[in-house]
Amino acid sequence: MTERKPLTVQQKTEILKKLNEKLEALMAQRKNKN
Amino acid sequence: MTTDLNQVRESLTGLKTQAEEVKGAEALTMKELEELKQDRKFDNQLAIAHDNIDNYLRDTEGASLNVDVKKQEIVNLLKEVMDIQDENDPAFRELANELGLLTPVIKAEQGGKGGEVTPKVEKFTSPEAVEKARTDALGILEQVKGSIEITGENQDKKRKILDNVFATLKERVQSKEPSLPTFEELKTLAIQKANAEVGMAAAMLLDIPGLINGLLEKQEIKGKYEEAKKVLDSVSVDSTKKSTALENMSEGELNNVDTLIDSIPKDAWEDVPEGQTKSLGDLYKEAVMSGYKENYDKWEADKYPPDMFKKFGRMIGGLFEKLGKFLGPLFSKLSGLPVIGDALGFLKGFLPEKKEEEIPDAKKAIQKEIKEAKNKIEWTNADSATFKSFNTFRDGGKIETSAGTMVLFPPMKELLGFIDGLPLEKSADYKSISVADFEGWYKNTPPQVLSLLTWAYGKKEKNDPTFSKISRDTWEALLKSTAKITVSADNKTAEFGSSVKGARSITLETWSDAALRKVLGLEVVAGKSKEVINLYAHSESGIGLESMTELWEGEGETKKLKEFLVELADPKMEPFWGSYRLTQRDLENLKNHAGGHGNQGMKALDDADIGVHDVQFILEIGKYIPTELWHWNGTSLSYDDSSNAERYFEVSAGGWFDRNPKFDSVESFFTWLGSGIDKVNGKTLLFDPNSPATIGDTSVNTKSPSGNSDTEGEDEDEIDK
Repeated sequence: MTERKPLTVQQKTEILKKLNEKLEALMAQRKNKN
Repeated sequence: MTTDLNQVRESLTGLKTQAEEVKGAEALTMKELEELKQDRKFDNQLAIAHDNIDNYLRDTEGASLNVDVKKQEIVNLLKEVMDIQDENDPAFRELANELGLLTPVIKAEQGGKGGEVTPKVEKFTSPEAVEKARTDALGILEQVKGSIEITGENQDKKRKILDNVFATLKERVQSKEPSLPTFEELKTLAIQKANAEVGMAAAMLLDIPGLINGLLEKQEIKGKYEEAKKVLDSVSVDSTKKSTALENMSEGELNNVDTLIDSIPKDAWEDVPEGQTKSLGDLYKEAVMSGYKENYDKWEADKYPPDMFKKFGRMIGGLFEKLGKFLGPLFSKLSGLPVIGDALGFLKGFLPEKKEEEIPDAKKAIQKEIKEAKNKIEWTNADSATFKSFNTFRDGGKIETSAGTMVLFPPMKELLGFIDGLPLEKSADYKSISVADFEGWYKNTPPQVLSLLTWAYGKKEKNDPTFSKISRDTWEALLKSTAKITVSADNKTAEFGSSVKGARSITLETWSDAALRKVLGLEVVAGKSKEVINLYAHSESGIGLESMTELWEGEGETKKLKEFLVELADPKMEPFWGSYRLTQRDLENLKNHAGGHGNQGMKALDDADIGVHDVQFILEIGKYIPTELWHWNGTSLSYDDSSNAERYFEVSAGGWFDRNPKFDSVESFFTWLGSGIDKVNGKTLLFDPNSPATIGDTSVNTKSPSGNSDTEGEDEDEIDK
C-alpha cells in the first residue's frame, strides 16, 4: 500500500472543492434528465 | 463588616484587569492569520459538502433510493477525486469521516432493565465489531418494537406500517454492510417516500436523543419544525392518555405509507432468524409478520396468552413513562421559540459525554469565526462583522446553521475607551483595576460598568434570574471597597467581588448569554434568518468573556435590552442611582421623600434648618469626596465641583452652625458627622451623645438621656421638649 503523507488543510480544501463540483454536477445532471 | 469591606476593597482593584486584558490582547501573527484563512476555506467547503451530500441523499429523482448505495456513490466520487483505490487509506478515511460517510452504528448498552437503551455511536473497526453491533442493533430493534403499543382505530394498518418500518431497519442491520439508518436515511426511507410520522416516530424510538439532536442541528429544522413537533407531541404521554404517532394518522396518511410497505422486498419478511428462543419480541414479531403475510385484519389477539398482553402493557407503560419524562421538558421548550439553544442544552445531558480534548468541529469553527470577526472589528475599527455559526453532528461533524452580524453597541465602545484610559498596574499573573481609580466615579461610570456591578452584586430574582438591581447597602459596601475582577492569565476564568456577601462569582464559562447581554449591552442585528439570530459576546469587554452563541428572537428582546440600558443610564428611573448622582433635583426628591419617618436626629436637624436631604447628601458624599473640595465660610458648608454645575451644593443651615461654634471648619463638621456615621443603623441616623458637637443648649436635643444611642423612639418626648 502506498504510504500517503497526511493531507494539508489546503489539499483537503481542494479535494472537497472538487467533490462538491462533482456532486453539484451530478445533481444538475439528474435534474435535467427529469 | 469591616473585614468584609476590606476584602471587597481589595478585590475591586480588579477592574484594572479589564484594561490590561484589553490592552494586552495580542494580535494574530500573519502566519496565524493565514492558518485561520485556510481553516475557514476548509470549513466552508466542508459545510458545502455536507449540504450537497444531504441533498443528494434526499434526492428522490435518482435511480436508487437506497442510502447505502448513494453513499457508496459519493465515496466513489471522493476516491476518484483523491485518486485512490483503498478505502482504508487514512487520508481518505479522515475526509470520509468528516463528511459523515463512515456510517456510525448505534449500539445498545443494556443495563439489565428491559427497554432501557443507551445509544452510543461506534464505528466498525473489525469483523467482530460488526457482528457485535449487528447483534446489539437487532436487540434494540426487538426491544423497541416489542414496546410499542398500538391503539385507536386502524390498528392493523398501523401495526403493519410500524412493523414494516422495523423490518426495513432489521434488513439494514442484517445486510452485508450493516448499519442502522441515520436520521437522513430514515427521512429518505419513510418521510419522503411515504409518511414523515412513521419514519420519525421509529427513528425517535430507536435513538431519541440522536434524532432530536439531529433535528435541531439541521437547517431543515426550520421547515420541519412543525412536523417534528407534531410527531413528538403525538408520542407525548401523560398519565391519562397513551398514544402513538400512528394513532393520529388519518386514513389517507396510512394509505400513503402503504407505498413504503410495498417498496420493501418481500424476502425481507420471510427472513426470520432461526434458532432463537421466543422472547416476547419474537412472539410479537411473529404475530405481526404472520398477519402481514396473510391478512392483517384477521390477526387476532386471542392467539396469544392473555398474560402476554399484560406484560406488554407493563413494558409499554414503562417505556412511555420514560418517554414522557424525557420528552416532556423538551415539548415545553418546543412550544415556543427560541427553543433550539435550550433544547440542545437540555439534550446535552442525554448524549454521551465528550472528553475534554474532543472539542467538536463546530465549536472550533465557531471559535474561529468569532475570533475573525473580533479581529476585524479590532483591526479595522469596523462597527460590525459577520460571522457564521455551526452545530455539531453526533459523529463530530458540523454544519453551518446560521449567520449573524456582530456589532459593538455604542456604549460598549465608550466602555472600552473608558477602561483603556485608566492607569494600569501590572502584576505577574493577575491584573486588576480598583474602583478608586474611577476618577469621577459617580458621573462617569458607564452603564455597562454599573450593570456589571449590579449583576455581580444584585440579588437573583424569580422572574429574571440574570439580573436585579443592586441593593443600596451592597452598593455602599462596594464603593467603600476595592472589589476586583480577577482574570486568570489564560483569560479563561474570572472572579468578581466574591468576598461580598451574596455576590456572584463570575466564571466565564458559566455566564449565560442573557447575563452577558445585559452586562455588556451587546446587540445583535439580524443575520440570514429572521427567526434565529446568533448572539455573540466577545472579549473586548475587557473581562475576557468567552464567545458563545445563543438564539435570540425578534425585536422584543432587543427592545428590552435597550430599555434596560436606558434605565441604568437615567437617574430618574432609579432614585437609588440618582442619589449618587446627587443633582439638585435629586436632593429635592430626597427631601420630598425623607420626611416623617420619625428619625430623631433628622427631625432635629430639620428644626435647625438643615434638611434631611442635606444631611443625607453630606453623609453620602462626605464619605467619598475629599474634604479639600468642601468649603467652609464659618456659617455655611459648600461643595462645589466646578466640572459639574449640577453637583454644586451648599449647606447654609440658617443659624444652626452659629449655634454650634464647634463647627469652625470642614474637618470639625466631618469629624462630628463621622461619629454620627458610625451610628448609622440601617437608614436610621442616630447622633452620638458623646460626639464633640453635642447640641445640648438649643431646642435641638439629640442626646439620649440614657446615653445609649439605640434607644431611639423611647426618648421622643424628651427630645422634642
